[in-house]
Amino acid sequence: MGGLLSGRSADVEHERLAAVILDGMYQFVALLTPTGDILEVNRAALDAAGQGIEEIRGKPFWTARWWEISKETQEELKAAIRRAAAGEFVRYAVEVYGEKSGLTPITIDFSLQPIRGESGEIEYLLPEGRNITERKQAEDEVARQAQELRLLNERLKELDRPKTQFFANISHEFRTPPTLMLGPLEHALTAIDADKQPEEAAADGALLHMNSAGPAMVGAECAAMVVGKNVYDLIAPEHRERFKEFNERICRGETGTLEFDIVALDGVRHHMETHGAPLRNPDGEMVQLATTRDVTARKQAQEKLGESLEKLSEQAQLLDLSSDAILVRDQQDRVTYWNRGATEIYGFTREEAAGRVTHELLRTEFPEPLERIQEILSRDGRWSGELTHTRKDGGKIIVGSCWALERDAHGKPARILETNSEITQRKAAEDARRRLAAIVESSGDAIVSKDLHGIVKSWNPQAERMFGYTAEEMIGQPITIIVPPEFYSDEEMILGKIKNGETIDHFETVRVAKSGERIDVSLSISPIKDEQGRILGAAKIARDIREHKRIERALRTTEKLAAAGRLAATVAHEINNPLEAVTNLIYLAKRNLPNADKVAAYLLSASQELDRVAHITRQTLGFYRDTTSPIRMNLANTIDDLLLLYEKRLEVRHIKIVKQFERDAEVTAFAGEIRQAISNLLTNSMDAMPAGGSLTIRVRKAHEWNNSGAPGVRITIADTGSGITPQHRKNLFQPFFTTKPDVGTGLGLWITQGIVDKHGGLLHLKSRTSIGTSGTAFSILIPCNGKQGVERRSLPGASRGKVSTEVVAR
Amino acid sequence: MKILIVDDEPKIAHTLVDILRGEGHDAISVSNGTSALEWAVKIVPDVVLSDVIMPGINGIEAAKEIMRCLPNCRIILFSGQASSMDILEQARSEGYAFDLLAKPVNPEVLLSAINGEGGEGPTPETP
Repeated sequence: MGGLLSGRSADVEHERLAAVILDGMYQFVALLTPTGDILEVNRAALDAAGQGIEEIRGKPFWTARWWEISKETQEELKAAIRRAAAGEFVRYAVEVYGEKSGLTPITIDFSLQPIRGESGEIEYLLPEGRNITERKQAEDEVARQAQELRLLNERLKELDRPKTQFFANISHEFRTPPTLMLGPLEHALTAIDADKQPEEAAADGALLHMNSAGPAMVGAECAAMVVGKNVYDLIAPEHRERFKEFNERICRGETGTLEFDIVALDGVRHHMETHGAPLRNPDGEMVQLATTRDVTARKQAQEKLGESLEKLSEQAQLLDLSSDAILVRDQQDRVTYWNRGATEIYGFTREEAAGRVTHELLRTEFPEPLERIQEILSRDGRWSGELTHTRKDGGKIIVGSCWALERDAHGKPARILETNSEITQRKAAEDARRRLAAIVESSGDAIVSKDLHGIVKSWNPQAERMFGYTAEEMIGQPITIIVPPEFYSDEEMILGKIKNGETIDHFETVRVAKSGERIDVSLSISPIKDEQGRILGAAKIARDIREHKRIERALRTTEKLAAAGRLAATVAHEINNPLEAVTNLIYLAKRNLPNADKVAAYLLSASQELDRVAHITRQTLGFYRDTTSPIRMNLANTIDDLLLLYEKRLEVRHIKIVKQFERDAEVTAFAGEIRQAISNLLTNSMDAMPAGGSLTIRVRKAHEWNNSGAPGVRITIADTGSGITPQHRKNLFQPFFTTKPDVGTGLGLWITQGIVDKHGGLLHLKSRTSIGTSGTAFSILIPCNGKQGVERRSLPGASRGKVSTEVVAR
Repeated sequence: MKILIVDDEPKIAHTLVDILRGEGHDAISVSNGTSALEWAVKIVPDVVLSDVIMPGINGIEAAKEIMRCLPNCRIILFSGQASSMDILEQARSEGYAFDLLAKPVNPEVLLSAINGEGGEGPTPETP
């Protein structure tokens, strides 16, 4: 199992990184919330307390094993956490259970450091503790030894007072017995003369004695090489003054600790830590007894680790929280660390990435030659720029990349920390996807996706409301649940188009809700493709158009009223003029009553005018009296009646009528509607010829020019107007489209078409705009067997396809 | 009074001439706007009584022209069509105020209007 192995190695690497930080002196490193709850604790500390992180994570820090040493210790820690949470750096020495799985107490130098986030708020507390038991023991030991020496010294003085001076003169011999006793100590144990002793060769700080560990520490082969020398010669010049002060302080009876540098006989600089205690020699002089150890290595480690501690310890915990990809690679560019952000951005898991060469894994495209980048990296220690990477799924992304070179202790390049933040569309795309999801959720249209087998894959809340099925009920089910059986063929057609990558716009059809209610919908369907362009399924937006249909019906009614209004206006003129004449004639008759001949002539004329009124009224009533069922109607006569109505207007506009009627052409239809359809075409033609022209009206028995070939009557109305421009032609049948905003409602042709559709007829348009031969011819074919035609429902959405227009333009 | 009658319907034009002459006016009739302009300039009528919707120049266009040439001439329009109101509104917005009587007009009302006693037609008001 390669994955398992590489996974383990990635984990090991992660831990190793953390271990680097937590190594050495740092017995204890943890990460707390500002209220003191445990987030992370390093392994060394956990082992020392014999606890697992799972047992204590999320619990208050002071309840953990280390602090169970006493109630006071716990209270002290609580107080420290409160102070740190208020922004204070807290440090104190404390005894805790820190060894042998929490059984042995140790003394630690404990500190609590608040860590602030970008906003300046304290986000974490970083507790650190280092074991100072050893140092404390050394200090205690020195104090104990000093006490012993003091006692010994006193006793010697008492035993052999006369020889005191002698002992004093051979002071190094005097100290032999304690030296022997103290020899096994691994630390240098020295006695330094602090007082002025002019009679002695040794000046201030003469080294009086040194134990067996001492010479090696200063690069001497044996104690004899250094004893008697001025100890200041060994101390680094810049530390001599401090050392002298320390020495004097000890000789005044204090104890203390000092860190200082020495320059050994071989010229190598060492960093030393010394614990000093005062000692009075037999002749009453104060000397300093000191245990000194070489802490160079510790100091170096401390300095190095101290620097990176904060950063790394935070990183160790926080790296995975970063949304950036953070990865570490070795000198061969193999991935040794891979954070969660990298997995999210690139799609490769930590296990998949570990050990792979990053540039191969991510197919890195560099903005400049790699050699140049490496040159900059090795010169400056860092490089930043934009890289193109390829994700696991093949998608390319652009990242802002920042490389930092880490060198080892010898200054040799060790590894590279690479931080990549994505700057491509992926984020934008993700945002867009999120927004899209929100839109889908809140859309007023039903939005549904299905696969190529018609199985529902998603079902938004509006689909739930519209069709009454919940997403749970529908997902995984065939979409045909909501398709009425007579429209199953639609579904096949839709899937066929989707498989070809075609989209379907505003397809008007009917769907069935769970309640059984039939819903008029307008469907827009698009294929769903993957990144390779393969069609996976279809996204379907269904809009409830029941309201739209209601409005359409209302519009038709409105247009009927408008048509009635227009008719009334036309009729008014035709009636008011004869009435005006009749009124005048009657007035004249009254004024000329004695003259019977004149009265008779006036009344005859008035009677003729009234006949004219009566005729128009009859025509008009017939025109608008609609029937509830289709009736047999003669189309030539119908058109004659209409022309009579428009006679005056035609005359005024100098429009010549050419009739080519087959007088016996009859259809069964809704007479009122057919009259309105023809009337609309006639008025359009008249309006198209404001400066006069010729209007040819033809009525011919014909056959449908589609497959059915059913018998019918074709009415053609052709004008010699300016013609319809191609850009207008496509909108001609839209409601409210008009080229005559002052007089037109924009509903005429839309109504006409609706009427023709209703009768199962066909509407055909030819138009030509070239000057001299311009004109427009509309022809409608009404099937003779109107009843059948009326009852035949056209397929939803297909009706508009019946308009055929022919463009004859030059 | 000298009255010019303009109507494209001969029966209306002729009966009105008869009625006005019967009342002692000097009335003549023409059948379209163009003729109305021609004759108005020639005979300088006191009143022009004109239909609105006519072939060629409509009654209102003719009336505007006559007003310009003969500022003292009174103009009375009459019409049987609703669309006349739209044309009249247009003329009003241009600053022309005409009386408009709706056909059929009672001859008594017409005579009162001609005599300047106010007709039943809307009285123009400038806002």
